[in-house]
Amino acid sequence: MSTVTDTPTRAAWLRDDALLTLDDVHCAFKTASGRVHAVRGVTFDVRPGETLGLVGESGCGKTTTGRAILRLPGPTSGTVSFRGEDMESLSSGRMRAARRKLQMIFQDPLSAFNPRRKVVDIVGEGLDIQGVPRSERTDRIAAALEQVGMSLAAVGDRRPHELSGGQCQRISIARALAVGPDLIVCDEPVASLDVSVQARVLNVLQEIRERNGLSLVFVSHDLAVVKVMSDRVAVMYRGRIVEIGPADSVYRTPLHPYTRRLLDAVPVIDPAERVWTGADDAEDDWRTVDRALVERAPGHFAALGEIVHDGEQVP
Amino acid sequence: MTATGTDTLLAVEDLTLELDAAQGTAHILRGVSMSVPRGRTLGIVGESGSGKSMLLRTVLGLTPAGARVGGAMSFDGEDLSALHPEARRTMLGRRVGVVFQNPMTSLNPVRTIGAQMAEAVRFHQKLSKAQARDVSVDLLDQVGIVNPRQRIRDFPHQFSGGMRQRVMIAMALTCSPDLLIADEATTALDVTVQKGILDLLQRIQEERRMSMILVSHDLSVVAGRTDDVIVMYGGRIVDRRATSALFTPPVHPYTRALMLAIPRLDMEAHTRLPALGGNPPSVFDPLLSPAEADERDARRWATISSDIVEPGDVVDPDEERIFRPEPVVPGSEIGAVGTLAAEQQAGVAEGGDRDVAVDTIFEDVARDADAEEGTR
Repeated sequence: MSTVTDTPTRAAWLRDDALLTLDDVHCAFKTASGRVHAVRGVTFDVRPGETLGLVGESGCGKTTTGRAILRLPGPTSGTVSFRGEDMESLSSGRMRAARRKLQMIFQDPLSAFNPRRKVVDIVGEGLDIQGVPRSERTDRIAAALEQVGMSLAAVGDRRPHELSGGQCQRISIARALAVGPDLIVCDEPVASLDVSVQARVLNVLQEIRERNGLSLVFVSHDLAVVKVMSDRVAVMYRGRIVEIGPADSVYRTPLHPYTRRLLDAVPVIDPAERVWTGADDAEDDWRTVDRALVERAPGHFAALGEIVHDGEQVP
Repeated sequence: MTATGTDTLLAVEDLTLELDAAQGTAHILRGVSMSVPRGRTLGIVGESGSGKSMLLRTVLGLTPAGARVGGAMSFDGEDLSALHPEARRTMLGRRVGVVFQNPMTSLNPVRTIGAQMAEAVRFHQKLSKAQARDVSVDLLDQVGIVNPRQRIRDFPHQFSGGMRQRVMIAMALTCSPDLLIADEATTALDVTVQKGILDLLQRIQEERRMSMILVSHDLSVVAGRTDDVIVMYGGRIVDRRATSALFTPPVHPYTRALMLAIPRLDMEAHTRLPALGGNPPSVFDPLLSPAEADERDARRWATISSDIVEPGDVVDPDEERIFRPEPVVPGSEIGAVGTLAAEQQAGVAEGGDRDVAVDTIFEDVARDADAEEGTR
């Protein structure tokens, strides 16, 4: 779809052993009020078993990026590769196979469920699409529910409205798990839950990640939640990544002024949580000008490099 | 807590709220007593369904049709229960400003901000339209709306979420209130916007020496911004103290549970969070005496664990992974925030040893708490 004729150069820091790679991904939409360029050149990768947190405020493009991974819809330009294969080049059969390995969990599970279906059928939906035989189906549904701490006997015949918000979210996790994914994109999975319920859902995600060696892309506006979940963190602002690196490094020594601004704004119970240090070394124009990512610590990049204009030139 | 003394602006005594529903009688408030001193900021914290919002709506007379209200309420020494509902609404409307969570449901989408502000201003003061506009512009300026003289011609949809919330604060200030209530006013906002609104509320409260009630489900929003906190659970107030003493021993077991479940910015990746098991009490639970309710609640508050199985999820008694509450060190032995944090961090203990971990964490914490007693 890109009008760029020469082969784009692959970003140097992408790793060869990655499960998922996004390279210079752009997403643009036509709306009534004009063209919205929601994601402008996002590049990152996720290794097997790794959790990448995507954090930022509303409108920064984090959800659009998460959806682009599953082609819901796909990027306007740039590539999403899964297990080394460019998703756009896959035949529909291969795409269906890849989809099984890529699952998504949404913020509001109730609106993601058919209210008239029973839990057993909600969790089994992906298996039905795959054509899993009847004999195997029940066992796999039970196993998926068991992994999120629920039993088929207890909840299988219930319908979504009979369940609490936390239970619904665990069922949507079970639904994603049932088809045996390698990677799950979690889009604000705990945003509307009370703290005790949130803690339990986060624990469930940690548990299934560990047990199944899953990779997660964890999209959230909540910096503390992202910290607990993620090995690496990418901070997004106006459709671009302004900082990416190991979670500890990003939270302890944030390099970009926007990251620091975000961290400073998080309300905390205990002031001792504010562990970051460091002074601004960015130009004052960071709000209006896009800069290239430069590596300042091992694997830790921030948009402090030269001014780039590629953001506005995509079809 | 009684309504005596001129320092008290709002006092509520043994307030109850009942509502008949298809499932039976909902006991939404189960005997709530609290007071708001003049010029101070009170935080109200609780999870969904705890009754925190209904408490304020009951005080304001905004209860649903058919609701039965019991107990006593007074505002500035005046007995609210004795007033006709209409008279009470008028009185409180002139002296209490309220900011709700979703400004779009409070603002009329087809009228300009200026028209809606001027209406509120002229409701409270006898002013000409031109004067009301000047007052509106001044108030919008005070809440940080840039270029207010132009912006009053705009419609609500032309403002961002944070700016709309600033407009709501300006409207709440049109009556020069003695009390400002912010009910989850920053809940749907981005963190940087939330900080701006909380800073604004704090500044206005200090400048005007108003009383303020900050209602939130988020303990961390309330922790740094209030003088006193009440914690609600199952339609009751279960913890009440100076905010600065919220985490000094003895920490209330429910407050402690809330605090432990909240992720921290300095946590390691893949930390398991200790959380309460089961569900909070239902509004349809029968009425209990305070002692009975305390006993029932204490049982749940003692079920902190990072296990993923909840009661009710598993019915088969032979099921291997039944929910088993973990033993807990009594709240009184837990130290202040630092120690609680250590306790929560200890929960990190690598995933595999979860079952063991929870036990040992609390032993460690108890030991730490003992060791630190001398230094606190």
